[in-house]
Amino acid sequence: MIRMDEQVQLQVSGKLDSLSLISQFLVNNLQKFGMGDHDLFQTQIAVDEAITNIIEHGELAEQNKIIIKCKKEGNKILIIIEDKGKPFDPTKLADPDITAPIHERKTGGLGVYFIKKYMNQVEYDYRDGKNILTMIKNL
Amino acid sequence: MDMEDKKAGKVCVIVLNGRLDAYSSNKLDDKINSLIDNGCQEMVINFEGVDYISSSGLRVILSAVKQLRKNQGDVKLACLKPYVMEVFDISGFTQLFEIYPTEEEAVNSF
Repeated sequence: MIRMDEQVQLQVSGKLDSLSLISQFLVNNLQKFGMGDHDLFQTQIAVDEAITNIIEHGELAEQNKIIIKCKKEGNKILIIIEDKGKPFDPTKLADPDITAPIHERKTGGLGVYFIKKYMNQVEYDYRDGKNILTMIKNL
Repeated sequence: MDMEDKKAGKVCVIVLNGRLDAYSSNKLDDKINSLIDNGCQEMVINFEGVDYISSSGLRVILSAVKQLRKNQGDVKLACLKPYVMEVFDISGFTQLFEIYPTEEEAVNSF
């Protein structure tokens, strides 16, 4: 049983095949924190999109890992993602136009849009050479 | 992610099974492009075994439909599970694609 104040952490390399490992880590731990299936699906997507952006655009050095921390505070689940890649604040990115016709649809920007749609709160900080993204889901 | 392709008359059907994240989407992109290179114009993607899709999966499908419609072809989708359908919904993708409850209906719609 995970105590209320307990935090779990995973460290992965910046490769796309880490994504399924991260999802499994979230399923195993967030269920123990009391998260239901639907919230878990949405949280997995938000985390997946954040990590994919770091791997595809963060220019992370080979030796640098991505750290994912999960903790429960009251009725909130906090997911904190830290990386030493290029500074990038997803909260500043404009939403894509999801009503555009097909020939005008852009392929970028949807990942960050999902993070904003699926999480209740998203905060970004750049400290000590690290991007720190905190995503909060209310239970 | 497992994927297999088959023919139903002139329609190419891709049956997906597993997670469609950025890693597996690259494999799906390769599969779709090789089918298009081999002359496929009408395509159905069966999502029955897909319980997870991220924006990378949507990007691959959007790129496929843009390529095929340019040449009067199309991609139609079948058997989306509720959570996967929700991802299509919030991204506005349900407006861009024909989505059918069964593979047979998607194939017969061509």
